[in-house]
Amino acid sequence: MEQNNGRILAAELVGTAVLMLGGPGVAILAVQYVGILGVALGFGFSLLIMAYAIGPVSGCHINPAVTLGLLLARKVSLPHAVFAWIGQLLGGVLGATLVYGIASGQDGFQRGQFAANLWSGDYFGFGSMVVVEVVLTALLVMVVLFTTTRKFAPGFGGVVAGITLTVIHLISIPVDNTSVNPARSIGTALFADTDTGALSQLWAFIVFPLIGAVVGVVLFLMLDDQRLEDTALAAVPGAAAVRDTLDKASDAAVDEVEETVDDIAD
Amino acid sequence: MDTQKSRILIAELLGTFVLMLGGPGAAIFAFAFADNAGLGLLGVSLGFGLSLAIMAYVIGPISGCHINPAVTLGMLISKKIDTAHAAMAVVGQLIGAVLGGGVIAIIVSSAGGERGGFASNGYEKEFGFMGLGAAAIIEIVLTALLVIVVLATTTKGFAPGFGGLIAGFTLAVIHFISIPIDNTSVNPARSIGAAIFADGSVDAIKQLWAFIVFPLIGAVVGAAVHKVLFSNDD
Repeated sequence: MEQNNGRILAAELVGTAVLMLGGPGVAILAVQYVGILGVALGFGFSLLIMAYAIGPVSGCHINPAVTLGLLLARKVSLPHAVFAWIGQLLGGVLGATLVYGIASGQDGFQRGQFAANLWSGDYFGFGSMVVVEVVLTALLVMVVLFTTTRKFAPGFGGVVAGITLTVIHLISIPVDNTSVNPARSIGTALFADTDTGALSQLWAFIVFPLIGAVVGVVLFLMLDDQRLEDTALAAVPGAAAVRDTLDKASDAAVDEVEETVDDIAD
Repeated sequence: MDTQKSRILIAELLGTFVLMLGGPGAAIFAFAFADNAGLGLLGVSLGFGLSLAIMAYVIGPISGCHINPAVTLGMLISKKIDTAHAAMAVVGQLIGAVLGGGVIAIIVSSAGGERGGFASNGYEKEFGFMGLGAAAIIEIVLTALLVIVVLATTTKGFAPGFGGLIAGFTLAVIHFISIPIDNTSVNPARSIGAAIFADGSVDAIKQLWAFIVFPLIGAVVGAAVHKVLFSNDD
C-alpha cells in the first residue's frame, strides 16, 4: 500500500490533540478530583485508544521522541517521520489551545503552570529530571519498538504502549510533571505563565526525551534479533566495536554464572 | 545459544529495574513530593502491577518475565525452565533490583530529599507493620497465588495473549491486599533492592530475611497447588 503522507500528518495531529486533552487537559481541569493516578491514566488511556484508532494509519506515535526511535530503527521512512513530526507539533498546540479555551471559561482563571514540565520549584531539580526523562523515554521507545516485532502478542500493542505511558506518569509526575514527549511539552509551555519558567526550561524537555529515544533503540537492539547494521545507529563511529565488546562481556558473564551453578550442583 | 542465555539475564535485569521504578519508585517520589500527591495505595499497587504487565509483553518471549526470584523458583520446581535459565534470571533480577533502587536513591538525593524507609518491607509493629505472624501468612499465601497464576498462564488452555495482563493484575490485587500489612513483598529481589537503600529509621535490613524466606516458601506452596490443580494438563 502506498504511504499517504497527508493522512499520516492528519492522524498524528488528531492523536496528539487527543493526548493533550486526556493528559494535560485532565491535569488542568480535574486534578483536584482525580489526583496523580487519574492524570497518569488520562495520558496512558489516550495513547491506548488512539493506538487502535490511528495505529493502522500512522503508527500512532503522537510523540516526536517515539518517531525518532522508529526512524533510527528503520521502522518508518524519513518522509513518514517528517509528516508525523509536523502533525504532532500542530496537534500539541491545537490540543493545548482547546484546553486553554475550556479552562479560561472558569471565573478567576489563571494560566499558572498549565501542566507544563519544570524541574525547578517543587519539582526535583535538573539532575533528577535528566535521569527520569532519559530513562523513561528509553523505556517507552523500547516498548513501542517491541510492539512492532513478530513475536509480540497480536492486538495487544496499543494496550501495552498505553499502560507503559501510565506507568511512566505514575513514576515521574512528582519529579518534573513527566514529559517523555516534546510535543506535549511544547503545547503546554506555550500557554503557561512565563513567571513559572516553563518556556525557559522547555529546551530540556525536547533534548532529553530525544536522547532517551536513542537509548531506547540501543536497549531494543540488546534484546531483539534485529541487528545494529539494520538500523541508522550503525552509522555512529565505534558503535559496532561497543556492541562486540558488550557481547564478549555478556558471554563471559554467562559462562561465569554457569560455572558457579555447576559447582553448586557438584 | 549463549546470546539467548545472556539475553535472559539482560531481560530479567531490565524488567526488574522497571518494576523497581514503577513500584517503589512511584511510592517514594510521590511521598517525597507532597505526601503522596493523590497517588495513594491504589496508585502504588497499579504501579507494581502494570509494570509487570508491560514487561511481560516485552521480555516474556525472551525470559518469561519473572522479574521475581520466587516466581523463578516456582517455574523451576514445576520444570517449566532449567537450572541454567533460573540462574541467569535470578542474577539478572538481583542486579536489576539493586540498579533500580540505586537510580531511585540518586534521583531522591539529587533532589535533596531523605531516603527514609525507601518503600522497604517490614513486619515490626513499632514501624507501623502488623507483626511477624501476619507477614509470614500473607507473604506465603500471596506468593503462592502469584505463582499459581503465572504457572496457569503457561498452560495450553490459557487465553492467548492475556498472560501479561493477568499476571500484572494479580500483582496489583496482591498489593491492594497487603501493602498495609508489610508493604507487600512476594518478591525477594524487590525487597533486597529497597532494603539496602533504606536509612536506619525502619531497620529494613534486620527484617529482610523474612521477605526472602516466606516468598520462597510461598513459591513452593504455589507450585505444589498448581500441580494438584493442573496435573493432567501439561
